[in-house]
Amino acid sequence: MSYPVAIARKNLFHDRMRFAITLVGISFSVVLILVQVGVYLGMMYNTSSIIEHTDADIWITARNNRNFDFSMPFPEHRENRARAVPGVLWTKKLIMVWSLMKIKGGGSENVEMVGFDPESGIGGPWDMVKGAVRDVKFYRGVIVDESSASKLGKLHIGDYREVINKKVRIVGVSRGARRITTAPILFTSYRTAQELNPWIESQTVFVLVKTAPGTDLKIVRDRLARVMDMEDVYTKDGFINATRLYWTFSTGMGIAFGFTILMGFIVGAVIVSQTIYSATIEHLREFGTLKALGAENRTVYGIILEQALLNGIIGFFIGMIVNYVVVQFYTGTGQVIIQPWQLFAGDFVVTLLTCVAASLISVRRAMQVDPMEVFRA
Amino acid sequence: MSGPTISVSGVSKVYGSQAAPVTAVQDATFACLAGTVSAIMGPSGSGKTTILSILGLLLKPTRGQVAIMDQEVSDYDERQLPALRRTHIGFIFQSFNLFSALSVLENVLISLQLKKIPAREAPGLAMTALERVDLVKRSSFYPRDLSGGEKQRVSIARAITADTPIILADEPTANLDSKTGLKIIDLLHELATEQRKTVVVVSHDLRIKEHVNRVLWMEDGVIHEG
Repeated sequence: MSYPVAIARKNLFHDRMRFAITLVGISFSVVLILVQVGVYLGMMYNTSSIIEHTDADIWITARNNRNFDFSMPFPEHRENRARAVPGVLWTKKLIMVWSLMKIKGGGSENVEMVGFDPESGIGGPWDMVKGAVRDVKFYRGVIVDESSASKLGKLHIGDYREVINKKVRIVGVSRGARRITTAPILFTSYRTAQELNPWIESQTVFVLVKTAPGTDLKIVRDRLARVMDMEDVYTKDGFINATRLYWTFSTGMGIAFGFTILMGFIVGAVIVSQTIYSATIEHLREFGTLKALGAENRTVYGIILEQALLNGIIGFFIGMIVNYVVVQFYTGTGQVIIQPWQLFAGDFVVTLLTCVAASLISVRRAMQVDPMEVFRA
Repeated sequence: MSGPTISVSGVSKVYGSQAAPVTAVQDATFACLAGTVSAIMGPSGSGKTTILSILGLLLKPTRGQVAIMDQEVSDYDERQLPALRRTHIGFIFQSFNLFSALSVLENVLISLQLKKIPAREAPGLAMTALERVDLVKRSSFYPRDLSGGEKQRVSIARAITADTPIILADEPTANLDSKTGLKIIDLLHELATEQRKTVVVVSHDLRIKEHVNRVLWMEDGVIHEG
């Protein structure tokens, strides 16, 4: 016995089947939203991970370039103009070029080849599993990301492969440089990238700029934009955003994810509304009895609201547990899923709001209860 | 108070539109005193439940005045009525109207909870009421585990524990066998005499006539002394 009597909680646990159905609906919705947003954020991270891990403040690209993966080259001597701009500490050239690598046993794979300055390591891999970044300087050395194993096969340091009919030597294995394009990524030196892909000889794809300490980033960017009048000049954040927006909107990916998230939300909301509403209808006589016994309307609404919130809270935490299992499985396949605390907090609030909104429909029905309902046999 | 606990004067209740009105209660006038059991009897559809709803402040009359404990309540609005119901009126229903998810004791505690009786007093009061209806041993049972008579006794315990001066009972014997039904009426009679409650019973069960102080007969919405 508990006093005051927790009618809402007792009603919920009394009808276990209905409670279970409601919880399944809510947790399904929670998992769908958490996983879909997490996968989307993971993909967005993949689109911009190289930009994020490169220690440059400004990215200069060919005109009208909108992302990292499909960038046009431009003459590398243009770097000199950027270097001369006041406020620029240093500049580095970086290549991102699509190439073709032969795989063991025949066939070939499209690869994204990143050519960076091996002395500074700027634009190169940031997390090495094996080998050293500087080793790309020696004999067409390339570093493969471990995420490439499914397409290129297991590669070891010292292995040789061919990139467009030229032999390259594996000198290292990196981690975390998975691309959204799903193409394997190879890191090599700037010069080797040009040598292996002769159509970009004397050309670069990006010029990276580090601003001098104490200078205003926007001012330097504006100066560069005036000087680099045949290129586009982005701040680091600007280029990350441009890349993410490209993948979100130009590819339809954002709409697909948005649609799935909306579906999760709608399915959850419909199930919650339906179950809370039918539970209210089933307890309509009890609510009428409560009113006959002298309960204020707000007492009845409170019970309905409390039921909805309990559903939401318990459903959310079950959803969290299922989400944990899904995330473990998903990341076990080498995929990236990013779920910041803000996502959990936001989804928790959305879940509770959905439950409250669903309960309002029931409250409306409870308000319309015929007082004589209590006397019906 | 020395006057009637319930006073009904010229009360009518009309349903439906102006074009096709249906008169459920027509010009009813009567009063009920403390310490008595009054039975409103009549065939189905005669307007008994409508007059009970009006007495229970669940339905407003179309015309006429209703006074509860000398308070004219016909014009009270929905915000004032819950407090009046809590303090003045206890209900006993034909279908018992127990909360299926609550135990017998919790069903009785609900009345005290609505009256905001503190936790240190409420369980004792509820158990006293259950003792009065001989259901202490069933206090942890749920309504699904009780017989019809036991359910009705829980409903009475709930009304007892609310300690209201008026108890309105709607067909309290309808779902019970004759022996249990008469026991329930006797119990209500005891409450009226021992605790000076005003009990109004609505019923079409003619067997209860001998067990009440007064019978009001109702037919086609018209009420008169039986």
